[in-house]
Amino acid sequence: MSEETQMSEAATEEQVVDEEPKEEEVAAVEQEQAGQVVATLSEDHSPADEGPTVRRVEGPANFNRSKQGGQRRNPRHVGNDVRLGDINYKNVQVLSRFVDNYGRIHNRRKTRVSAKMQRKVTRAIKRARHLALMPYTGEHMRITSRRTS
Amino acid sequence: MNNYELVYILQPELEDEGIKAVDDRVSQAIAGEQGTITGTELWGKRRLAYPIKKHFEGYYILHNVSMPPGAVRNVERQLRLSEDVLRFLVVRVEG
Repeated sequence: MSEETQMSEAATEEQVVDEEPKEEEVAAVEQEQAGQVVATLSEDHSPADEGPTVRRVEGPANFNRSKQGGQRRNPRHVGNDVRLGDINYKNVQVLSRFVDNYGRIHNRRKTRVSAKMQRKVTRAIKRARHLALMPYTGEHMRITSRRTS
Repeated sequence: MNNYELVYILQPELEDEGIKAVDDRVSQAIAGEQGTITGTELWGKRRLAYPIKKHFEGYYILHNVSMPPGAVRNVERQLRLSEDVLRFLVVRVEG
């Protein structure tokens, strides 16, 4: 186990370092042309020095990427413009925005509303279901739509 | 005295007379408990989101009621007795 982890660590360090030398090479070529000594330069960038520096750059970059991804996954705030007073078992039009195509209630990660509002919405939907204003399941919708035709 | 909303669904084949008969019984039950009906909304015949007792439609009636807390039990009992009532809901309204 320990050998493996050491191996993988070494591998990542190699990869991390691999990125740098490319620039170094370019710089080295430039500096060679300028007539400076290249050997000392390559000694300065030993793997031990290089690892931490590159990792520090990687951190924030990853963080930003994941944050953007999160925003893309939930672009729509379902209940943003709904006022607490509008949530009512009779207001099916508003409540239907908080359920999916099968009549299931969206979780808070999807609705993005406050816990207080989510509680009110959930209760209102359950009351509306009891009065057959909203369906319990997708099966209900299938039955009633077939009946309509 | 608390304020309540009372909604109930009647089976759709009921004639106007039948609807009135049920509603009278409910009103009497409320009045018998020293309650008063402060408002009524007739939603009329609506399509049900799912069939109840093989009915696909229902006749919805809403009453705003002011009555003492103990009265709810008796009013609900009266609703449960009638077979024409498919569903009912009594909720307390704040304010």
